[in-house]
Amino acid sequence: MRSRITCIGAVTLIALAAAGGLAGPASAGGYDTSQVKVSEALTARVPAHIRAAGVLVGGSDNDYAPWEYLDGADGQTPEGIDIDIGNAIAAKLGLKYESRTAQFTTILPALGTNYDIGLSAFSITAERKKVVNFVSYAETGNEWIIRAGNPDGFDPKNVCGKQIAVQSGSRHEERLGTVSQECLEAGRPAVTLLPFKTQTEAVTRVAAGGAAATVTGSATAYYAAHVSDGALETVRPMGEALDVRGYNGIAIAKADMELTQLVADAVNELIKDGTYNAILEAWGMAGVGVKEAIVNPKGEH
Amino acid sequence: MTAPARPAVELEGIHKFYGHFHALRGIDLKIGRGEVCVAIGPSGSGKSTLLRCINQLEVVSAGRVRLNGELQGYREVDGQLHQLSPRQIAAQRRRTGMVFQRFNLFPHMTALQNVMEGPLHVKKRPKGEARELGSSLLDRVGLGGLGGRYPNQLSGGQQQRVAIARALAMDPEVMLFDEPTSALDPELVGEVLDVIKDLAKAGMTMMLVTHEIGFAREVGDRVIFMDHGAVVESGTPHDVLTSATEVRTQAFLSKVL
Amino acid sequence: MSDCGVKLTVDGRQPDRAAAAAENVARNRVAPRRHPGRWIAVVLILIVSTQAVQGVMTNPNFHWDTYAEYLFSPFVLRGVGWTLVLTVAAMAIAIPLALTLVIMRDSGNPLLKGASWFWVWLFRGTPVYTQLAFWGLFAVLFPRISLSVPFGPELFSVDSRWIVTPAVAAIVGLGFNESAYLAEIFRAGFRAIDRGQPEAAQALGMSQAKIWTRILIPQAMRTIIPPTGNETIGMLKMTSLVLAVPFTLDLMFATNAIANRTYLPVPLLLVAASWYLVITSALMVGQYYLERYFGRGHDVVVSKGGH
Repeated sequence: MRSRITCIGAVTLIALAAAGGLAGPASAGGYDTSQVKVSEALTARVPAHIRAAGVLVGGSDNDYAPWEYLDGADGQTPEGIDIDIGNAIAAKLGLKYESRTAQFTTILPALGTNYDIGLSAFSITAERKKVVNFVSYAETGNEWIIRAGNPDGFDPKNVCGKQIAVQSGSRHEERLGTVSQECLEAGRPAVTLLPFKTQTEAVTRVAAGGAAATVTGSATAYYAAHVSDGALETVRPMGEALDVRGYNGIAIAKADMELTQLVADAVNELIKDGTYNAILEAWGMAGVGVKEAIVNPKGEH
Repeated sequence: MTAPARPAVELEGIHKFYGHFHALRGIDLKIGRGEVCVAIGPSGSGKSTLLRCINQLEVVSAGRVRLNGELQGYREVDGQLHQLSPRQIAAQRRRTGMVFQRFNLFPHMTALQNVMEGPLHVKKRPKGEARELGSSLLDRVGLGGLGGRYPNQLSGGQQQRVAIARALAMDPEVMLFDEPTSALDPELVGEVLDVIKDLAKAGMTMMLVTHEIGFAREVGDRVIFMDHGAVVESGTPHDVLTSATEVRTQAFLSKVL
Repeated sequence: MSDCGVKLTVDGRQPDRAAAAAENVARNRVAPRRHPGRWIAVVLILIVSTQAVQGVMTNPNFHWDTYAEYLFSPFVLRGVGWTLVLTVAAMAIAIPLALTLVIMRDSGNPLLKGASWFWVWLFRGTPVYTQLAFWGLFAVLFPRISLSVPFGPELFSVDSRWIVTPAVAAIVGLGFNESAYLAEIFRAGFRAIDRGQPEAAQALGMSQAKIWTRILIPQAMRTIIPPTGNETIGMLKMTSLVLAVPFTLDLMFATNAIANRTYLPVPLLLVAASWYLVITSALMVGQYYLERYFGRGHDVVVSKGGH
């Protein structure tokens, strides 16, 4: 049985909603990580090949604002919460951080070879934990995105038979599969899934009217609604499958427990010295913060 | 020769322009029923063009073409010409048969299928009847038993004879030959000419454009010499070929004879 | 052994004499030439290919067990089926369309000519992915399809989503795009036909329609079939782009979905590749027989004479 939202959870959610709604445009955020202090103890534990390169390479799809997206003067520079966190972790380890843009579904299989870590707002799931190690670093819920004014009469209590856009390979796609199954068991039509390579494409389809709604992490949903200039709005999901909170995790190759532990320790250092919270505040995302980074935490998102 | 009631082919004041090029300059020609008219002359003289005006493969710029009295290609109402529909023109073309210099057999069909094509698919005859007709015509041109061959399995002379059979299968009123032996090796010319001779003997109205002067002499009832788009001299084979009066005719003949 | 006294007149009408004469000729005895270079090449190729095959077959990174597990999985087979359906349906739309475009181009009518040219320009000039995305959005751009009398009542009207479903969008998108390329291939095929052919048909009094169907198209087929077969094989692969609609039942999507779930992209890519290879091979065999049929009369060996 999935755990219900506790009282504390509800408060956090409200705070998150408030934070998301009241925060300024996340693109104006960004934290200067050049002030982050190097940890000598941690630097010593950096694997030889990474230390030799001097760079910590993180794979991310860079099309999932406000966690990571491409912007800057040339429109090609990765920016976002994950980018800042990555920069901070690397700085702690005496390295530079490089965010490499990749297709979302290709990142996890390529950890340890193409990428040292995967830092792309990955939800920690039981399936994924079988294949990679995770270090939890944030906690979020889910949110629907629909057209402003709800012209199609979208009702989160009953999405059976609707056309829902979703990012291919995301946990939300998986969860919607469960929802669709529940619909069929209740004798109602299945959910029609429209998968897209990136979440942005899914949101675009909703805005164009080609899909009733899309569901994604709450931070991303609020951000999308915010920058849509009144074209989109968010709706709280109902039902066990979607109305849950869970961890986002930094992914590291299953075989490399050393690096996993190192990253966890680095994040915990950042939490201890206040950098972590400062980053989240800068993005108006204090609501997603965790007290502690855990390696392969129990439960799933 | 019986005097024709109405000439089989009447060409009246025929002019043909290609852009500014005056290819046919006022041709008047009548071919009687059962008559064989042979056109000779240098290349570019317009002989083939004239032939092709008869079955409307070329459209005349001025003048009238009549086939057994019927105006070809147009309806004339109060002096105003109205074009016939493509279907009507196709129907008119069925009354003539044409044999081309390069045979133009349909390469994806056997010899028999080539001959049957007209009766079967244009005249919509039943298959058995078409096949019988085809076989008998192939026999007539001396190719009995070769009906199952494809054109590229036949010699040039054989192909041209199939082409003649194909044209005859439509039971035409007039047969038109556009340099039928010019593309043949010399030893194969004879077999084709023999077939044409037979046709003439059987009383078919024909117009023949050819370089074979000897043949013109043998088969023609009338010979016309054309040069630069006009008929320079016309008459019996003897008149034109042996005792030509025009200088240009004599010059041409002295080169080819 | 040759007998110099025998008169060796070979007479075509007496085959026995000819055979007997042939028997009497003593052939030259020649020592066979050596080809050392060829043997060295063969050995080298054998060594390299054995190494390569071994490197692949025993390589755990290929996860051959996963490959075997999913090669005949129901989702994959369904994907194969849908990919075939898309390919066949798209070509079934493209071929008649292309033929129509060629006939329009060939007609004297300037409006038809222009329309044909415009179609080819439009569908060849834009990426097929973009076209498919547009078809996917058709129901958004044109929410209702209706038939009505101009300035009169509406006869019937229907929600586009019922007509332009993802499957329809995928097939129509692929078909329309392909028709533009095929039109150019067909045009080349018809241009290659000798001018004398339609003339001979006209001289027989054949109608224009019959000339197209009995004379021109059968002959053009010989030139058209190899490139069209090529295009069909290309279409097989192009179906993977229907993700743009999005249409999710084709082979590529099916294998990608499994790969995303299992985090094992390589064996699933091999599964997809294997199936594409199998279907392509089947198409190649079909093309061979088609070419043989339409080549009759052209490709047959010429044998002269025979009276």
